[in-house]
Amino acid sequence: MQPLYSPRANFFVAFFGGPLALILFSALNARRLRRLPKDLLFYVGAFAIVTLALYALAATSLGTSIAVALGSEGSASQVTRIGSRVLALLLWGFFHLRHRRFQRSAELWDAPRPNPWPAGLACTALGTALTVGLLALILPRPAA
Amino acid sequence: MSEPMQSAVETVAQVDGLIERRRLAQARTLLERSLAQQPEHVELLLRGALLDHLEDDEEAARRTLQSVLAKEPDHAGARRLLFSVLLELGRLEEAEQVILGLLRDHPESPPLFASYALLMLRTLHLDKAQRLAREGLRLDPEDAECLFAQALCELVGSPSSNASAALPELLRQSPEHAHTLWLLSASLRQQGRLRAALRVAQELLRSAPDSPPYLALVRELRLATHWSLLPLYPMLRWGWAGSALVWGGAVLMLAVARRLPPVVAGTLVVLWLAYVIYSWTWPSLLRRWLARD
Repeated sequence: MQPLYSPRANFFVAFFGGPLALILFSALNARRLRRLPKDLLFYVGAFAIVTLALYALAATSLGTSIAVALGSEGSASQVTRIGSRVLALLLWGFFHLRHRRFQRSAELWDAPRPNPWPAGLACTALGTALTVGLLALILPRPAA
Repeated sequence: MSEPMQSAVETVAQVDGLIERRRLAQARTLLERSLAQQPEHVELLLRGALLDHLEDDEEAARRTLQSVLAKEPDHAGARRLLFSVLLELGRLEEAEQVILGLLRDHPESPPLFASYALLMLRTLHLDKAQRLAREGLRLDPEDAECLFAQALCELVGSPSSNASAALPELLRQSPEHAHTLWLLSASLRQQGRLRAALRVAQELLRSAPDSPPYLALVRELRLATHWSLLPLYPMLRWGWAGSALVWGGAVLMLAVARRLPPVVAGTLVVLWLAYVIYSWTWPSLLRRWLARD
């Protein structure tokens, strides 16, 4: 079994890279645990939830309604950005709970951790690009 | 011919006694004298490997054990020691081969199931570790090594669970054994009961004052219970959940602060930033400071 990326590394990827980066990074840990087939459904489900949430916040009136309800001066795009971060942290919590006992065992044995920077940065970049691409697909195109 | 053999048996007994009393240098001198006369004696070589292992020279121990096993491939003691040495060297796949071989030859030995379970825990095959510990306990419900492995499985699975049966049983059987104390300290630590964990760890260190892992454990717990880390109590007590609680509270506070007079809001923001900087920097500075002691 390969060593696992720490919960802290996962957290920072979620915080800076958003939900899709977190899904990719957490899937790397699942692969290291050789339980990707077992967790695959959860990652697909998480991707579907992220797509739905982004659609609801960015392409419907929900984002604007939330911005108005919060009394914020911000726009729906700001609400989408913040909502995406909150969702990333919630997903981090969910996948952390799923892999918690493995992380606990690694801590107990003081197992070495891999350097999280290359994979973390790659997932953050890829997650951001995927989010931008997804939003481009979701958002209605302005009329010519 | 029979006189040197007799002498080797006596030496082995003496060396075992010295090792038990942790007088390793004396044991080494005695052993080397005897090995000079009988350099191929398997039991003497095995004690030599054990001394190397105890003195953390794992590579030397492995080489000696390989020469022992070349002479006696089925020597159970040498194979068990080789397993421990390979674990220390991090050669886990080879260690697994050794323990599998031992289990094939001794399928009714609970301590072997316990050793295999610990290896599986270390390689994060947690379900397999649990099954192995259970199998060992089925063969002997009171085997201390299997109880230790089972308690570790329970600790990893759910540290706050009161359903743990193995740790209380271990505490009843051998309350002063180092494994039991280490496990108790780890359990208390994972439950966030850091002061209690520190007391147990200090007890552990008193039993083996020259043990680097126990020293590291006490240092880590002294750090976590230091008075200057009191503002970080939620994180230290509840881990990531505590951290989420603090951040949630901060977001709420900053949202409320926007409706307050600018001076009050500014003070709250500065206080929060100071807290964040303190939480990121102070623990590592304190760790370095305490490591000087």
